[in-house]
Amino acid sequence: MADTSSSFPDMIRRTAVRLARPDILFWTLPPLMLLLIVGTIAQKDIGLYTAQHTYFSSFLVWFGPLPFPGGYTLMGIFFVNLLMKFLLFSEWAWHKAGIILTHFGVLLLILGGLFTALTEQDGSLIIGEHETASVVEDYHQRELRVLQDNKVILRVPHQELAAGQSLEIPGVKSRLLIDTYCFNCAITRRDESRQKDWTEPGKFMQLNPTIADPQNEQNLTGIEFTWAGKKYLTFDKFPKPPQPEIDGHTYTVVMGRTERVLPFTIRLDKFERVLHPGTEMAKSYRSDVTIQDGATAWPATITMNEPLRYKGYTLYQSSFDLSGDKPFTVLSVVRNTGRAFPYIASLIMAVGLLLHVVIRLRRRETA
Amino acid sequence: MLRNLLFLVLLLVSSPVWAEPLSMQDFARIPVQHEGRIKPLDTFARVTLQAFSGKDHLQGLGADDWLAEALFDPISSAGRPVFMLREAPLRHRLGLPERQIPLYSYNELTAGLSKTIPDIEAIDKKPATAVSAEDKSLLNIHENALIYSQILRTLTLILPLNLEVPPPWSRQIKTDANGTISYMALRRFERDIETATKKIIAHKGDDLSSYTENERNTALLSYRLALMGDAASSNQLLRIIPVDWAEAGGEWQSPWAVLQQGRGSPDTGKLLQIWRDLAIGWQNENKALWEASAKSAVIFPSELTSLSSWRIDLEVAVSQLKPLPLSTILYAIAFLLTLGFFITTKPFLRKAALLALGLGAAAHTSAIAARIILLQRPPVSTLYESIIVVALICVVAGTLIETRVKNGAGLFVASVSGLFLGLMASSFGNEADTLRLLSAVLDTRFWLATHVMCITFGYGWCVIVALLAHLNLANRAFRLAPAETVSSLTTMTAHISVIALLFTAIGTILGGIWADQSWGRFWGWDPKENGALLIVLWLSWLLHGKLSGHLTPVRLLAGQAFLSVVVAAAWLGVNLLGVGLHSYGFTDGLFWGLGLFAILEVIYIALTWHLIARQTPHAP
Repeated sequence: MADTSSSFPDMIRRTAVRLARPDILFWTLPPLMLLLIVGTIAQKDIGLYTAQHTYFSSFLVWFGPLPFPGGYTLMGIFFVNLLMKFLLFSEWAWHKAGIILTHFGVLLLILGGLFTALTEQDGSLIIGEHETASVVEDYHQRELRVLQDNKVILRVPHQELAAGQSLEIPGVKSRLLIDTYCFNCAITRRDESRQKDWTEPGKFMQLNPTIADPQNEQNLTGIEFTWAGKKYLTFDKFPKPPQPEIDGHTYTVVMGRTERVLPFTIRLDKFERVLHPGTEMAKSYRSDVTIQDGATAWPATITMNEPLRYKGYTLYQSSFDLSGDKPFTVLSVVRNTGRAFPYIASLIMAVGLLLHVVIRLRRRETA
Repeated sequence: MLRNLLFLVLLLVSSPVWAEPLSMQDFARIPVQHEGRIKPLDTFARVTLQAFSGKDHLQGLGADDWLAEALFDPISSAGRPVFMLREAPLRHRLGLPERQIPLYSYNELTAGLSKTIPDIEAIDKKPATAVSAEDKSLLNIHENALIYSQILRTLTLILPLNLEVPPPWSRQIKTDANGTISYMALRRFERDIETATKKIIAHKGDDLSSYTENERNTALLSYRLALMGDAASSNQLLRIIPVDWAEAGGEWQSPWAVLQQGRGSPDTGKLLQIWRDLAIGWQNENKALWEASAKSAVIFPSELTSLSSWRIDLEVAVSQLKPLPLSTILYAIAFLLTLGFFITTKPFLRKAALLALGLGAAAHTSAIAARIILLQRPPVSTLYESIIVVALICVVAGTLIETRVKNGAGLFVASVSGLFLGLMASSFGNEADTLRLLSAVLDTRFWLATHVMCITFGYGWCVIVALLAHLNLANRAFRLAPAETVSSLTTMTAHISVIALLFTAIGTILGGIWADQSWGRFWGWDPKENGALLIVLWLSWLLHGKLSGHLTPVRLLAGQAFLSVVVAAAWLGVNLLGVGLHSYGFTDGLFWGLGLFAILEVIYIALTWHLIARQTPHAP
């Protein structure tokens, strides 16, 4: 009877009390640790990116036919449990100050992690010496771009592409029909009997869907398509994308990484790699750049462990290419609006843990 | 009887025991640039010989003597067995005869190596994952043989040549005091000799039998000079000559590179002359010449480059005194004394164990201090270094614990961790120079000193918690100690596990901050990051399980003891994956070692738990 007569706030309070039970933490941590172990070992075979998305940035994981809670689910349960415990059962006394602070820090850290997972963008910026660039390519996200006279008129994320799909291109009567789509394509020679209507180089090349590579960056995403009666193909980083002439316009069909334009430009003045003497082992990398934002320009240096931060973007030295005539630097560009969270949370947790140890030691001495 | 005695005396008198061997003291200190670092020739000799033979000396021959022979008498050295080939399939593949100790000479290997060149080319084309352990051994022996051939040819340009120089060059050429000539002396005439040979071939064809003696000697000389030059091209292994030191960014050169790149100068000429004197001194067992030129070979490069010779001396001293193996031996003694103390409870055994630990820790500390000085960076950045530093942390902390508890628990922690980790570190030291330079991304003193040291201390505290838990499980299972000792140990273990949590948590967070500072992301699910997080979660789980009453004292002890496996997996196991920024490199043996360790730990915990449960049915 008591249950049916209890008021709504009472029910909330009782739910909250239940959610704060220490059992939840005790039974959430072991599966979280198991997930961490499995997700880490899996990286050897499926690569870091895929493992992260399968195990940690997911709600549900399948171990064969068995469902298992994913990282988001377990962290969510952990967060709610800790929050309820923190709000309802914290002992607001001086000798518990360390624990309270530590728990608050953990809550903030998880919140920051969620914020980062939702908002973080990363990609790479490749600049040749004495060149200027501002377009960041995403590491993983591919898209189909159609350009009319070098101006982008259509962008389609690769997840929305499929064989048999027809795309309406703005301002063109004829629709673009996708004949083959593969997230990872293997290129083979096209049989002579199937070369009819094909334009070069697709006349001699054929895209075949194949299993995805564990290293996400290695996957060659591409399509074969028919447009205005002719057949073409294009794929990721294809140096000669097809350029059909339709109704007096030149169209370019590109499969590439999603691009984002920085609100400033960067010019590479000089790239330098210093080796440990007498070896091929790098001692340091260094990119001397000039940043141009509107009318102002200023020089900056990006080296290993010393990135450049500007307008919420972090640009760090990631790689380089010295194989050609001129050096290229590869900068990784990360935008993370939740960047301050871990700093604040870490500071609070560190202070909390230290305080807890000090309080315990002092209590032991006085006891 | 008298005849036998006389024979013995005669034998002793005539034996070379009385002939004093050449001193290697200064030769060991000659500076050389190897793997990007200036090091004493002694280190190069030890590391290289260790890579070839598995030991830093041969039977009756030290590493420095071996290197001297390889440099100054390459023909004899090529016949000396130095390559240890333990794998029978590899010996079979190279067509080598079986012998009790599978040690083979360079000369014995050459036929097998030429035969397996196509195999090497095939391995090169394989993807990294398809390269088998057998392939790796074959690659390894080919690499080692190449390194050896480069060592043998290092000084061939200045060593006396045993060949007939025909006129007119025999009259023009400069010979040394012993009347011998070298490639260097002949090189001036190499083009003339080559032109003369071409003329002879144009005139008489390829058939040597139609040549006059003078013509035959000219052709042979030309052929041998070309062969020597070709064989030594790109020989950059032993960089003993600082050329244009200030302009070359600190890069030194090998003698052949100086010659072939035309980078000679009066200074390089002088240094090569010193090396030539050294060679003659060694070959003729001329003690005075050997010692004087070895001294000059130490001093002259230092004068050219403002090199601080005390670093070289320090490194030679560390190599010779071997403080780390010494500390491991002292920890082993301390462990035996501790066991003795546990059995007999005689106080002097406890004191003796403390003394052994103290001496071991002093030797251990001096080894780590020397590394810091030589590499000019904080002490931990490789897996090997993390092991030796964690060992020291455990020994020092265990000794401090002992001074408080006075019941042997601290002795147990200190001696077991010192011994076990010391043995593990020595198995890592086999492969190469452990004083290695770092890749650019890790070469940052601030983060090595903060994040890495914090995590290393965390590992250390975790090892202590696990060992104390092991001891207490045994105490309870076998009723080894009185109840109050067990209770005080339990409390201490709980306190230290909070300290372990503090260090690992702060260390992990600092790692995240390093990652954000350097790569713009706080957390990337890299195996090493996940490993550190796993330790933090495990410790938190134990702590909260205890507070909530889910973990009884025995379950808590078992969980704390199992921390050893968690730490081993997070600290060492992640390196098996070979992915991520932190990976120090793949180690095959580590997998089986870790697996065995985990199984033994589970058996120990299960066994002690079972025994405790039998004594007190409701306790676990």
